[in-house]
Amino acid sequence: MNIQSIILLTIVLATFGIVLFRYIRRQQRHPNCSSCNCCSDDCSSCTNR
Amino acid sequence: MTLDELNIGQSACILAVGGEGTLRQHFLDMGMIPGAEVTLMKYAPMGDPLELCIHGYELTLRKADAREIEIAPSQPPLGEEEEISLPSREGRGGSSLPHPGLGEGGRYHDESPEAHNNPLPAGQVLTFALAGNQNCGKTTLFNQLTGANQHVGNFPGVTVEHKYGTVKGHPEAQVIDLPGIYSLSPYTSEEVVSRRYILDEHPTAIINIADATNIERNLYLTLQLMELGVPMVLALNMMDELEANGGSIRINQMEHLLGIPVVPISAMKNEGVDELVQHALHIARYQERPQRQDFCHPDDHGGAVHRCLHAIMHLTEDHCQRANIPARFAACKLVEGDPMVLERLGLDQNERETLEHIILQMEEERGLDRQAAIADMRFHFIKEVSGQTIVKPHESREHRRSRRIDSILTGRWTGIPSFVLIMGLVFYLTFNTVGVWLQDLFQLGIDWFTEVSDAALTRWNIAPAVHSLIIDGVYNGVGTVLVFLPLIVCLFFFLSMLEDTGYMARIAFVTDKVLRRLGLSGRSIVPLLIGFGCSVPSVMASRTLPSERDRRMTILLTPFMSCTAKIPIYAFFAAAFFPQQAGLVMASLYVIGILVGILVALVLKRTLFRGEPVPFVMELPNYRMPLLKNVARLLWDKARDFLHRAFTVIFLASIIVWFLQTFNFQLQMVDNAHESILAQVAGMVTPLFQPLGLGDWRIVTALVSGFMAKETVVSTLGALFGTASLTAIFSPTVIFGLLVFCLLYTPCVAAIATIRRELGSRWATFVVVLQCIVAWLCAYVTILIGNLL
Repeated sequence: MNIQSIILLTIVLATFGIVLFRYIRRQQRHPNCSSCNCCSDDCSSCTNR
Repeated sequence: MTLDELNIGQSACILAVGGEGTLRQHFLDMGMIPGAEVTLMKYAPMGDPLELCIHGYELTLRKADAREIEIAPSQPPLGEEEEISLPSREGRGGSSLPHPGLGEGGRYHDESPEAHNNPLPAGQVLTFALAGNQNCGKTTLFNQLTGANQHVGNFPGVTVEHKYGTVKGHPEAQVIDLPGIYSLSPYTSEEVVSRRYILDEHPTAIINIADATNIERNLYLTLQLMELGVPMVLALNMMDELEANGGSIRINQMEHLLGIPVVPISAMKNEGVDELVQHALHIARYQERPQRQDFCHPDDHGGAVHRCLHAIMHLTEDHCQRANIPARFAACKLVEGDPMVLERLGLDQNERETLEHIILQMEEERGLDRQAAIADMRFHFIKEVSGQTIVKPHESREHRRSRRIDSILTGRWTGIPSFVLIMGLVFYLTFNTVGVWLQDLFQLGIDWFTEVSDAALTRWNIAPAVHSLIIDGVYNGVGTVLVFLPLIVCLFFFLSMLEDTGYMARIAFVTDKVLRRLGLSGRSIVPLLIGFGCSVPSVMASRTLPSERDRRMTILLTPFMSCTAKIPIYAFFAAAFFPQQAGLVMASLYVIGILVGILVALVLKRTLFRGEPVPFVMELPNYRMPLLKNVARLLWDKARDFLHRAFTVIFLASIIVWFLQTFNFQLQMVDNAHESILAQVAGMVTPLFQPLGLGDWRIVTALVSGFMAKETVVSTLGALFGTASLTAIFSPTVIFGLLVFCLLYTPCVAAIATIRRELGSRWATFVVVLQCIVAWLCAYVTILIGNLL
């Protein structure tokens, strides 16, 4: 596998990991706020603080 | 005599309101109280529900619910009309009121010098709750206040949507748009979240928007909001329409009687909105609470209600302070039998018994049951305020126009054909012309981007596995779902036009009788119809349903409406196996889908969704031209929401499925699809399909791939069977069984993700399992019947 492939693979897998991590974290933090588009702690539309 | 026995055009006076629970409270909240005048306007084309005129606006009501209301045709109201004059506040009165000076140093509310010594600290964030009835222009006002500075979110614990944003030019002022409600009773999730927000989140102030052309019904909510004791300003919307039709409102007098600032506005024309903002900021900064919360009069019907409420306020004063609930609000809710307030106050047994005795005494003296007595008290006050402040317009142009349009769109012989024509046009434009044209354009863009990327990856000598991951996994997976976006935007454009013009309410009115047999209401027809196009916007459209039960049931039934993505499957097999009857085969599949959906609805009605049906009491607003700005904003919200989902859930699912299709259990890339993990897993499931005559791993793999997108079933079959002839391997009976299975089995991952978002993981899993079981059973029955014939 050449360096370009490794870089691309890393980018895709890193993106996969980040998206999965944020998705799981949002589910844990806002279990009832199923449509909240934010996933930050300051999200004022979800009051599951 | 009951209301369902009234003749068209005939008026009557309400004598008694029957029913119980939610239904009865809805009747009272919508103004159907003893003594109110009601006129029957028409019946829906199928004979049910009714359209009534009460307090100057149109309302729908089912015949079965109308039977609960006793009336007396053309009789004067019960008892003599007592002349009650509202007590004037000290130092004021009469017709020549000085200008209240609202917002001008706060002279009106409290003239003591001390009142303005303690404003809230400069820079403190001021939160405003925007509350009002449905169809009063709340969304338009919200958009005028916030512009582009708005976000869509969710109330915790429920899927009631709300918007929040920052007031233009005032970064310290945040507005939250509460759901459209008619009252603060605890029966619908919208009402519960609204009052919970005000009581628990402690907004700095409330902006109550009311429709000036229909003010009596709107003031019912206003009085309840005032009882909460939160600083409040009343915005009278649609003033331009009121004045154009010869009406007017004595604003100063109304402020004097209500004790809150009243601001005339036209949200659509952006008139008066700046003044409203100034007043709102002022009352919030200086925490100027409503000067009046006592709407009961000591001389009204002997003062029974007045004494009752004040006695309860004294009895529960300490509990209210501990629970942080305003005493007046709590007293009214206790009389109405509000279980949430009762629980929250934590009264002991002795206090509860005393409470009950007080209320029983009031009922006996007043001659009305407790809920009717409270509703009557409020409407009596409203009537007095209206009598002193409103110059009623003659019938408005808008109302005349609405009646003329309704004579066709909801006419006895023209209602259903109009509905079929309009929905047919929406579908035609979305799925045959405009929507499809945009979708093709989008697809061209995605294909071009994929080609360019593919070429670049080849140029860079990217490893085959990585190349496949990016193109076959990410691009194809996400791209297959992204092409839905133009369809969704197009469909929601037409839907929001129908909603904003007021026609959606008419659709519900026309189709209610049919849907009621399935345990739903007329409001569910639109999401179900959209399901014939695509399940994703169908599930999203179910958010408009006010009842959680109806929404859930509608979403569960949506997958039975065969979406357009399945058409390539039908067309492929119909052409190969039923060349002479292809059209008939496809039509029969749609009919089977609808029939199975009806069957499942009837089962659900008697099992999971047993219980009291949601009352169908709905206002029919005047027809209006929609504001394109509002429509554009809604489309942007939907598109952004969809894109967010595509690049999260769909992105994850695409990579996972790609991996399963490309690698074997030894984590080596496979040349033969049979060796992939997906095929091996599909092979484990293949025995389940033996009874259907479909025990071939290639068929099962294609069905599994259909989970990503239904269109891929055909392409997967083509790739797996290669040049082998399907007609030589399978019989027409088995293929029809396969078609029935494809019709009914699990929706695609985009639809499942949308269902999961609306109902949660458990319900989404339930949908997948239910669909697969129903699909299997129906396919089996189909093949049995086919073999017998």
